[in-house]
Amino acid sequence: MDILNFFIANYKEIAYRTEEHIFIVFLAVSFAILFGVTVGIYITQHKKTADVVLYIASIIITIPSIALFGLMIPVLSLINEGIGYLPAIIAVFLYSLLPIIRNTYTAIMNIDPALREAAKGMGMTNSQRLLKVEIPLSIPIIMAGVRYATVLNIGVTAIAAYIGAGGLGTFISQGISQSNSTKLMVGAISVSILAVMADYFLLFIQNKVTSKGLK
Amino acid sequence: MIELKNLCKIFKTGNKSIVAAENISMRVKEGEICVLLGPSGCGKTTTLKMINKIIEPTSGEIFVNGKNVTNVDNIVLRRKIGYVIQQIGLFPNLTVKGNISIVPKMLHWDKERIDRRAEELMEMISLDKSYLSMYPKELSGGQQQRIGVARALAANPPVMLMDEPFGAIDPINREIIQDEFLRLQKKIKKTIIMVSHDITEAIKMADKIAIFKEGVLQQFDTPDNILAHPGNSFVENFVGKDRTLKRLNLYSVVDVMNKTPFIFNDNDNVCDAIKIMHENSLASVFIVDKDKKPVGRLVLKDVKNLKKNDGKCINYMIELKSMIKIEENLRNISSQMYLHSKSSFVCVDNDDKIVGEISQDGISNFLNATYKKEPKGYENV
Ligand SMILES: Nc1ncnc2c1ncn2[C@@H]1O[C@H](COP(=O)(O)OP(=O)(O)O)[C@@H](O)[C@H]1O
Ligand SMILES: [Mg+2]
Repeated sequence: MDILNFFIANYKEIAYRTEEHIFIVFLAVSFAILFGVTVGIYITQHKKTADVVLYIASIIITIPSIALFGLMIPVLSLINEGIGYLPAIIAVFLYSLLPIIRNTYTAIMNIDPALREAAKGMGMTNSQRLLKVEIPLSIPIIMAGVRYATVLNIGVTAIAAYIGAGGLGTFISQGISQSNSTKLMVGAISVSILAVMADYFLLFIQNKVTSKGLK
Repeated sequence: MIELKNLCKIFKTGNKSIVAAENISMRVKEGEICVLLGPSGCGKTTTLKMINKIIEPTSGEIFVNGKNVTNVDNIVLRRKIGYVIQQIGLFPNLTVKGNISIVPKMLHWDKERIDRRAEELMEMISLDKSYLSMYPKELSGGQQQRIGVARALAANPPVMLMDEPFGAIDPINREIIQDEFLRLQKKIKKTIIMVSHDITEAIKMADKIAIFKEGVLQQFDTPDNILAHPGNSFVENFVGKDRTLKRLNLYSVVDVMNKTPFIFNDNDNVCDAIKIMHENSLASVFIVDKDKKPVGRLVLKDVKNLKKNDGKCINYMIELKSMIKIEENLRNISSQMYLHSKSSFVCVDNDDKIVGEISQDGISNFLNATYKKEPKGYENV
């Protein structure tokens, strides 16, 4: 009951924190898609680079988020951005890379070589092949990576409240420091709901952009 | 026209090198189907893929319609060569229409022309227009294969390369699609190089067959010459001990039949017929009605004792049980000869009118004719 009352009494702040939260994740994951898909495609052509890139990305994702923030604070402080949105966005960006790069790489590597040969044989240029065949065929797997990155980073962003990035984590950190379990629960529930909704939303988008022929 | 001159391909893998094509020279004339034939791994696919530069030759030259392909941009070259790959390779993310419009779109045809072409292509491959909006996974293997061919034909390329295009279908549908394709080829007259490992398919489809063994071209000749005069023991083994029977597939009744058999009308006097049979040492003659439709066979030994005025042919003839259409192939006819223990059949046109007679001796003589000529050997260029 307390929780519901808190929701009703503070809906404005909750909405604002949700917006902040979405802003961080959306911005960072968007950059990660642009960068990750490009890198993922690039490394399909450069097998040696592929191992290195995937290795680095998998090391990054194993760094605990608190540690990553800790590492970034002194570096970003040099440009007076040690705390706030920027380190949060960078962290989310970095954590998103592995699932996106790896899924893009795997999806493209697993495309039936016969399709690639058919495309070549018909006189498609490399970029036509990429845009008309390889990427459309890879979309379900790339999108699975994006969904994973998003859900994971909605959690990471909650922790970023500790470095002043705002977002729904603010309720959690305040709830802990003020021993206010209602506030804590509100934060935790909101983050969970946001994660589930984001996943469903992306699934919806995935279905929209996946060809009927692939379902 | 496609011409290969001293074409070689050596694959280097690690410290091993595989000669997949060794000094291959041949010329496929415009409008002809050439089948590259041989056991698996003999270099058929490699040879085919060098023509559209999917595989780079180690040495040698390729000319497509007079142009050396090394001097033509890959992309430009490939858009002018229809290519059907062994695995069909339809793009699962695109509809049938999407698949067959790829090359026309790349050539910037306008939408109306692409639509018209898509419908035309469906008609060519005997599929309903409604398939255009379907996805490859909704189609049967045979339908996918047809779409693969349609896609290669889309921009009307003068040359087609087909790697085992009918390989992935069951035998019954394969025959249907082969027949369909031959009918289509009569109209479109493309210059086609087709890979196959199936001698029966090669005989059926080819104007010329190129037989390979371990990257070396063994013989390049017409199906009939390959069967009648295998150039070496490899070819002889490959075509099989029943090669003469296989030759029967190559010809139809009309090629072999006696077009001027002795015939009598049903109400002719039987004695006139007997006289002619005696004079020409015939064992029997065919009897036709007033519409020239065969109705029976008059056999000499049944009637040789008849006197004058003994009546009309119709009274003494044996009724005909079977007639042969002239487009039937010789293999089917031979089979029927054995089935019915007959040494000859009457041949009729589509109106059931008599046009000739086909006999075992006639077939033998026809098949033997090529052996009497000095064997041509094989034209390797
Ligand atoms: N990319 C390649 N690398 C190495 N060897 C190859 C390659 N492609 C084909 N070969 C070899 O070349 C030979 C001919 O192959 P291929 O032309 O595919 O035969 P076919 O189509 O007649 O079955 C085979 O021994 C095959 O293993
Ligand atoms: Mg092959």
